[in-house]
Amino acid sequence: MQLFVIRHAAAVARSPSLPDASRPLTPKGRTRWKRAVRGLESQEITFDRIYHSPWLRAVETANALARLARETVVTGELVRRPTQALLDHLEGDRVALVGHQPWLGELVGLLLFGDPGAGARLMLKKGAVVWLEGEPRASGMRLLASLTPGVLRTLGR
Amino acid sequence: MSDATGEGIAVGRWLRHLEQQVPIARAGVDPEGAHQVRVAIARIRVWLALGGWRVLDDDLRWLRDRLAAIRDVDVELQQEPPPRWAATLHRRHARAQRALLATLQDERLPSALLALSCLPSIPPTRARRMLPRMARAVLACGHVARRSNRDLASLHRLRREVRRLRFALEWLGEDATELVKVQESIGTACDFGVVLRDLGARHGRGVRRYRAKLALGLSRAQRQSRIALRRACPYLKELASCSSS
Repeated sequence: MQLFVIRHAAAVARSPSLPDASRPLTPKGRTRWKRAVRGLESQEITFDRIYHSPWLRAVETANALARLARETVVTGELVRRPTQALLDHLEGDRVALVGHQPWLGELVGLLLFGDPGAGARLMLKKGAVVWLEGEPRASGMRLLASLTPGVLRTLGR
Repeated sequence: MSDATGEGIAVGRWLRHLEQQVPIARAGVDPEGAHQVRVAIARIRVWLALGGWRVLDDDLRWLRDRLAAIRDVDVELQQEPPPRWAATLHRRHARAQRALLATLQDERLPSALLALSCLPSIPPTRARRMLPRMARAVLACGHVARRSNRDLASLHRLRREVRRLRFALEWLGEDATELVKVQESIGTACDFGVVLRDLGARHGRGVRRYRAKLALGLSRAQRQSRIALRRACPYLKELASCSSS
């Protein structure tokens, strides 16, 4: 499996009047992410499935990516610590996960090193993509690339 | 009642309806529960299309597909089948209900409901831009249905497109009475067609008479759907030729 771990694009700041799950992308976040998606497209990257969290910023991020995918699946597994249940859930040869820190970092740590704590050293910016390959289990994957938002946007020009 | 306000078209009312009907469908006592879940899903899918949302449609389609089996059996049981065939249908219903229960307990459902509740309202101008394309889809499917002598698959497609356009108009708070008539008549024809297809080549006491009753019902419903669609044609052509505003 090729797994693309994607942190949602830039979202509005936390506020007491806005539930965390309902925070939308900022206009700049939306525009920049669209350019980043063109960057993925320029590399002929497509997905069998995109799994995304139900929180609005991830929904918007996945929505912009959806034209590169055959199917999208919403899952609450992406708004909690990664578990084997999430990994067992994944179907397809090329799969994208759109979610949130710190859980995505923990997931990458688990998949690369068998240690979710190792993911704390991963700098995963908003709109960044970590590209992995292998079996979706602890220590089952290797890193193919870590693509910052800037690199993706450059590819999308 | 319109869901369109000055701030846009919110999904709230139909999302609440879906949330209320899920426990009824889960209980499996009242067939209307499963039917209302499907109705809510169909309306919300149109709302997503009006807002340009690609995500969440697959999740709703997943839920709808798993309701299809039980809905088909409910439709057949409403036709008062002969006793032996009815017994087969009741057994099928029990199996479908068990499968439905598993689906309604899947975490994908509450995740989809949460995601939908977070989506912002849709600007009516954006929604209105979708209407001409939807109307053209109805006209195109109507043409195919006529040419194929109204085979079941083409009728289903036509019904689906009519329903989409009807729901889109209702989301915008516009009158869709003509389309309701078309949808209902095609729907009746489709229901008869499904039941006849499922009955297949079965024999048995009362089956021949039952089959004849269904065939007559199908013929009448097809005639009514032809008339209703012909009456709605000028309106559809006007919608299809509207430029976005």
